[in-house]
Amino acid sequence: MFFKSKKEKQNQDQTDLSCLMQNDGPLISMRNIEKFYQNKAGKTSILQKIDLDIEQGDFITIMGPSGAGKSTLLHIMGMLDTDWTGEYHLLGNAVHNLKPKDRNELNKQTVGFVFQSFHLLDSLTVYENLDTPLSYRNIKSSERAAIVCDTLDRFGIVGKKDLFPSQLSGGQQQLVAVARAVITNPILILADEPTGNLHTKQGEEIMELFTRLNNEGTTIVQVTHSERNATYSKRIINLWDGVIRNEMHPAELEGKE
Amino acid sequence: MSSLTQDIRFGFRMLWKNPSVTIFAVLALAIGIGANTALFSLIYNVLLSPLPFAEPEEIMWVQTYWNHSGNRGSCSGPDFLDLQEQNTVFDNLAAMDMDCNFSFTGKGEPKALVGLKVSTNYFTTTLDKMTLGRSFLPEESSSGDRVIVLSHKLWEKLFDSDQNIINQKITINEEPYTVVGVAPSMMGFIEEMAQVYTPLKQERLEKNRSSHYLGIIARIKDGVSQQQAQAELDMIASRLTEQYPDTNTNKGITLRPLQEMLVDEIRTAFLVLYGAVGFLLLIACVNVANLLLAKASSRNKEIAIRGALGAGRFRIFRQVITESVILSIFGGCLGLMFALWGLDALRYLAPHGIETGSTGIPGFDEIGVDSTILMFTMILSMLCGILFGAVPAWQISKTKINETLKDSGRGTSFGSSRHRLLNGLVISEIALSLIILMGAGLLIKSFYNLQQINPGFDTNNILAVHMELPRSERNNDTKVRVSFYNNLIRNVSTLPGVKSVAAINIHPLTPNNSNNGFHFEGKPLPHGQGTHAEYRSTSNEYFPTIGIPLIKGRYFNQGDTADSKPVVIVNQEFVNRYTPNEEPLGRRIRLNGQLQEIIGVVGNVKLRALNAIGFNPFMYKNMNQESRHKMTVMVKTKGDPMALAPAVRREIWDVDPNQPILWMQSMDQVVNASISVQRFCMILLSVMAVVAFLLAVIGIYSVMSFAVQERTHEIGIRMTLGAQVKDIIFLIVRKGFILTIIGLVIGLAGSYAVTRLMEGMLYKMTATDPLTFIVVPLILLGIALLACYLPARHAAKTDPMITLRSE
Repeated sequence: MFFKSKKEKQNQDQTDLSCLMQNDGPLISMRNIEKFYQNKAGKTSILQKIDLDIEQGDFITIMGPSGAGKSTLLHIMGMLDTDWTGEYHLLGNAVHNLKPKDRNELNKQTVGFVFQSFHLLDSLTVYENLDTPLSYRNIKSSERAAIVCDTLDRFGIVGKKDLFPSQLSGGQQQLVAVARAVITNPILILADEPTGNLHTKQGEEIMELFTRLNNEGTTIVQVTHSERNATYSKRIINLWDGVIRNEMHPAELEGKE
Repeated sequence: MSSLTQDIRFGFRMLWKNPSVTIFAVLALAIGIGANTALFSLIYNVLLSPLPFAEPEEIMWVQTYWNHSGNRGSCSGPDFLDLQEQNTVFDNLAAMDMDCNFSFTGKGEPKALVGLKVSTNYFTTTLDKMTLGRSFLPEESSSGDRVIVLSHKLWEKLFDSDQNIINQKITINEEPYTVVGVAPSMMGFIEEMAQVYTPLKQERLEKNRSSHYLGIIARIKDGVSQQQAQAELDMIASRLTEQYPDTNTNKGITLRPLQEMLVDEIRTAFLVLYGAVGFLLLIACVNVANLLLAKASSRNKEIAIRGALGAGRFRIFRQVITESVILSIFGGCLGLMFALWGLDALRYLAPHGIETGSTGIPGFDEIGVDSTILMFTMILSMLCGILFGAVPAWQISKTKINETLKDSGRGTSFGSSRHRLLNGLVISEIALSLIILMGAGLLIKSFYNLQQINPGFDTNNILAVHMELPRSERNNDTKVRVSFYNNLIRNVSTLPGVKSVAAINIHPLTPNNSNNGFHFEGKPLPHGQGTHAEYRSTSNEYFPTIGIPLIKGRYFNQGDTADSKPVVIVNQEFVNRYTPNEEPLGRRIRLNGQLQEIIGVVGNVKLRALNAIGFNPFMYKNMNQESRHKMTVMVKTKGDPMALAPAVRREIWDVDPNQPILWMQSMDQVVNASISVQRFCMILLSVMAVVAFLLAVIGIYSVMSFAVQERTHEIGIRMTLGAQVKDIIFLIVRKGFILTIIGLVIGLAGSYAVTRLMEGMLYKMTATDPLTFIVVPLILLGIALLACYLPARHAAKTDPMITLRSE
């Protein structure tokens, strides 16, 4: 009576997701997003009056100098940061009005995160790292096993499934991190400096992977300092001192070069 | 379930990753759980398990109650017979003469057996059925038939569980006895004190209303309450007082449940011990919670990642608490092993009586690990895991994902709420361990006070040999008994190393007693006051041998024979109570129907135990004028008394090769046995206090070490700015000092409340003894400060450049 069975929860997840996918508007719509820190010296503004729309299937790069608020904006998009003002709609859901539990549910269903420092779980093998987000989504263990195996195969890391992160190179770790981010079929991937700790070749491989995912329909928003990485995207948003300065097309960057 | 399996698998991995933390936590929990399991087995078997009788809740213990002194004691035979006849509230009333000794011969070397002489309805009052044969028949109390019932253990050990034992004859007290029954298996303490049973003779029951030696067991009728039964007993007692004013004035009759009577003296002590062990477990849990909380900061990143991947707060909470439960299950398993060792230790330390060698405590011999105890351990382990795991798990689940995952910054810091929690746990550890330490300190001081007591006689270099002449036709002759003991005394006194030898029928500091009523010649009984005193039979040299001083008159001498005038020696308490304003010497008292002249006044001795309040009045008869079958021979030696034991044994068997010896001990051992319960409690509580203390100190040390680690950057900067080593040490120790002081204050308040429960266990001191309440906290404070000083000193010696560079 008070607790849903696993099957009921899975059925509800699928129903909710299909409802979400019917949204006609932009995938992400932000209006007047602001964030600041209050300390003894006063208010320090991190983001000011952010208005932003991101369509489904977009590949967006957010660029700007250090301290511009790029990661903060990304974390707000990913609903990891809940301390801000303004309006944020994700797939038609008013995130700013959602309760924490509902926010967590929406996050689980829609978002995959890739971090600069990979943030793999050191005590888990590659297989277990991939399995972890699935285990938080009420998926049966037999189904999870199948999904993990498919993902390992898709990313060409079957041979590494029993290794621990400390046994992998930087590039391999980030590959596993990306695999972990996509294993739940999110409609949105948020990547915070995904190639920041990789050398050039590894970085290129990751960016090409993102391109492939985007071609398959996944919306990608990346934060990067690298102009080279930005050229893989379709749109660049420049953030300076917490304010969107302008938007440009990647071609304009190539023109600069 | 599969996600729970995942949590369990991960839990094992995390515990394996931090072996030192895991080992310490498991050990701490094992100690707490093991101690609790062992003590629970003790409490369960001693206080909670029913006695091995049919419907044990109906069995009452009936005693004589002396209204003017408030003492309770045995009943007399005629009183028992009147109670049986006049009561309407009991289904059955049975009597037993305890501590009877029987010699068994004819099967190997002579054996001394301890047994009971019981009324013929004893077994029908207490039991459903016998293992073999039957119980006594009513006519066997007055017929000349010699019949005997064997205890179950004796039947197994001595007769190899012979199924054909019934109607066989065995030699008891040099006479043939027919075995008519075998009692069912009982608790250890009953088996030890009743190896055989013979019927009380009706003739003896009808004699001497002023001789109190019987224990009475009654089975209360269905529907009758204890209060109703007591009311009827009061009426019967009043009737008897009217009918027999000489012997029954001021004599009441009281009853209480047998189980309550048996455990009365030790209930408080055992419950205090169990409370202490509960505290110990709490301290262990708090210690482990401390450890997990301190380690939590290293898991912030992992928890934040899990949160980012979709783990809800409850899921994270469950994962962390699963690790705690795994820890506590390991702790429980190891604790079970510790419990087995602990039970062995309890048996070794158990208070033992000199008489039977058994603890005399119901259920003590049955302590062990059975299914009930196992289940207790399992449930306790799970609860512990949840208890100490819940707080850190709740804290960890509150990790802020966003702040933790941001790649800029030095890394996450320990939130202020976690610091407060950590501090709170340390304070509670100190408070709890202070309470246990205080209890131990009080018991140690009380035990020390006990050992300083002058029992009234000299305990050094005295060998006590307890024996009973078989109650045969031959030994029923007074002259034979007197001759045996006099010959023995004479022979033993010639041994090298012997200073003097004497004998007494009931030695000091024994649980047994024998008191008789009397009155002064020519003087009516004081209004509303019966007179009675402890009654002993001694040889001439008893008082000088055992060092009881002569206050007035004389000791017994060679002139006091069976044919000379009956004489009696009394003690100072007798004079204080009954002749405070008159010269006692030369006065005559009527005792056992005979006038006896008081010829001497000697010093007081403690009756049953060193911690007995005050003294009892005593009357001593000369053995030549009133001899007993059972005597304790006291040999004053020049050196170690036990070294002379073999020689004394030889002398006894020279006089009579078939004479069994019940026991041989030094008087020091007899004195120690009389305070064995107090020693038992003191040792146990002290061990627990030491363990609790160590855990608390380790807890403080680990928290201080962690605090130092957290402040490494700050310490580096301070040193760069000019702080000296002593400044850094003061900074760290000050925090520990404050936590310790708060813990001590709370602990003192708690001790003040809790130690009052121990009031009855303490001798010549209060439960808030000022010296203990000052010394113990000071010791704890000193050690706690040392535990703070060590990590502080380590931190102060670090090169500031290294610490700053590592950041």
